[in-house]
Amino acid sequence: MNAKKFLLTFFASVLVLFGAISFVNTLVNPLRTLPMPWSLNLPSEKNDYFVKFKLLEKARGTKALILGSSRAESFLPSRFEDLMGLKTFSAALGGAGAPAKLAFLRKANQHHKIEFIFYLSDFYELKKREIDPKLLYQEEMSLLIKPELKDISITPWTDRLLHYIDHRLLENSINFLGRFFRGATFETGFFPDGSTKRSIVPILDKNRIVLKEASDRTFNEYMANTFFDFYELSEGRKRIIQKIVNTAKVNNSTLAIILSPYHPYFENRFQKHTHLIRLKEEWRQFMLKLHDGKSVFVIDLTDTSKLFPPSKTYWADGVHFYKEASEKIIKEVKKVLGAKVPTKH
Amino acid sequence: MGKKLSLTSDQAKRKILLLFSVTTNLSILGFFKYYNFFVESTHQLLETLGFPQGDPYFLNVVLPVGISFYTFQSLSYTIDLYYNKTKAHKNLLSFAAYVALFPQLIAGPIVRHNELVPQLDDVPKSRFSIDNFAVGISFFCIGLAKKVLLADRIAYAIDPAIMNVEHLSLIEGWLCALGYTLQIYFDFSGYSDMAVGLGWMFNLRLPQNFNSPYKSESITEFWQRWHMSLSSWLRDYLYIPLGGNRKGTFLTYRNLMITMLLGGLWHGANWVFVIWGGYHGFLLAAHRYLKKQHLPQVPRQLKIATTFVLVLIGWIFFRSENLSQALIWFRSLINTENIFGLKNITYATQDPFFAALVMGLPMVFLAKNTFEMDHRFFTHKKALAYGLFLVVCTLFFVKKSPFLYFQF
Repeated sequence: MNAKKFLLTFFASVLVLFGAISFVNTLVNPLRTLPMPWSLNLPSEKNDYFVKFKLLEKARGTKALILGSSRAESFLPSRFEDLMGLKTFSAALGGAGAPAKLAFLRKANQHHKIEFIFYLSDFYELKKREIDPKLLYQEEMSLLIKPELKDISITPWTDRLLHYIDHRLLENSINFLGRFFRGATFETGFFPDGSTKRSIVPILDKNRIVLKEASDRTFNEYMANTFFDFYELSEGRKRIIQKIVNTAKVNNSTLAIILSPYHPYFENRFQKHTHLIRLKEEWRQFMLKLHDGKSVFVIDLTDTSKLFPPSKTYWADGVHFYKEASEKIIKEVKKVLGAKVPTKH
Repeated sequence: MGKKLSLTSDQAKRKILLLFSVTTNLSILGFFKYYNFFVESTHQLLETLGFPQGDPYFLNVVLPVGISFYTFQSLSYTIDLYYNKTKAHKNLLSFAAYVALFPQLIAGPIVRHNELVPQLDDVPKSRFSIDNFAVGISFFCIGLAKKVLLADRIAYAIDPAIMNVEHLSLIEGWLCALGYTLQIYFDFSGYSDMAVGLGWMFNLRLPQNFNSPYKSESITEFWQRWHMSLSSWLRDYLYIPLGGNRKGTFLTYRNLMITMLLGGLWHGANWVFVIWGGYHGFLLAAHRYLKKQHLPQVPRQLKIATTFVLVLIGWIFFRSENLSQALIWFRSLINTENIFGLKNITYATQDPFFAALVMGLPMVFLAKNTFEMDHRFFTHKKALAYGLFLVVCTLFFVKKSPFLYFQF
């Protein structure tokens, strides 16, 4: 074989492979990021978002909603109900960012008269990042935030181009097509009030946890997956948070936004990454401006040392806390809001 | 400077010109790379000795990419001119092309003037050659696959674990050391292969930088096979001028030590690199000493394994951010309180990591290296395999992953 034929075979194989990958990614378009005139109407995937959506729909009499990521999973709706006097549903979900929170809020407002919203906010939810594919696989949920997709999609054309041949997109596409043909089976991991059966917080391991070690590990994981390329707050994400605030106001709900604390071990690790300290402060300032003292209350709990000690009774690692800490936070919120918390009807 | 050196026959003048050139080059390198290190080390030393100190003045400058590489290339040019081993450039453009040739500008190989310039000057050779382009594709795709499919898979698993070094179990400590040993080889030799491949595409032959270093039977052989362009540079421009092995046993050991200490410092302004260099200097001297002792022969495999473990231990210094991190890492290698824990190598990265180890280990010990392959033997299978490499590697481009040697 001569070099000419070798190169022809090489470039042909590259073109065919790229073409095949782009075709699959464009056909399934699992992240809804590729601009295409057609849509493959695949059934909704029965993932965590799907299950919580269905549970939220059925949770009759819900008046309070918990919004947050895995950190908010320790805020049990039953304790919330005891302390606040409102039937509560937990829409907290691991990895749920601002777009998911907005979708849950809109869904809740479709089915219930939501009077009180408890929103646990983290500074890294203002990072410009891809939307959780699980959310967009959930047809109903992705439709609920369709107007906001332009804010969370990838805009530079080079990134878009790379997306056509992104391996994660390809994996998602293949998984999705596989489920489509095999039929999805999904075991729900939630109770009817949205609280989780399999929290990220390992309650059984509580006595065995070495807090410093767990805290360092979470920081390293966050550093590798979230913080490593986080240099500015996303304007798109800010607009989504503003929409959450507006949605609450339009529906006459009281919104309590909690600025989340971190364990001192975790907090100390920021010292070497001064840009993260700056971003945290920018996030804090942005969120504090949302406070109006009438229907929107921003409660700065970034320093919880006065509420509870940084021991493993309260903290599971650098970011997740146990229900003991959550109860203290709920009580603090109640104290700050005072009469503004709606009473039981 | 080069022109003046080549035109002057007065030895005293030539010496002054050479000294001026060497001082200028090293001053630029020193300013960007070593100023802060020097200030900090001096400050700490004075503080330890009890002298009252104010805040030291640190420079906030960005290290120019590849400065260590092109400084060495410029140095070798003037030194070779001084010893009449090469001819001066006729114009600045030609010199710029030698120093800033893009495939190897950032992380080598360090190319000698008399290796590259005749090729750059050979105009008829600069015509596009489909054969050379195909060979270049072959080198490039293999290098890319080494970097993306092996080095990066390992890095994603061990980087977070090394950040958490104080909590590593015994097995994690060893896995991280083994992982980094393979990562740095596949990363750096992958880059070198890509540079060589790009060179072929432009009809340029860049030198081999790695010759299966982990197959070495001794540490001396390792340095003949690892980062060959740097080790030969250090040999020709530092070790031999210091006297090499011509001035007695003690001075040979001293010369080895100085060469390796400076070679370590070349990698970066950090004590861990100096210690790494010193460690290798000691091993080279020890090997030289043992060779003379007429010890009984040991099997080849045992020699390879011993050399590999010694090199692996050295990489712990090299990878650590500071000496205390290195010591904590060493402690984990004998951590009998936590032997089998795998908490710090995250679940999501374990499969690709172990797959990379399973593929990588036979590659470094048994397989031919890129230069031993016959790149001119073109087959459909090879074309398809390289096409697949290129596409699969491109799929992983979304995550940034610079080459390790870019920092040097």
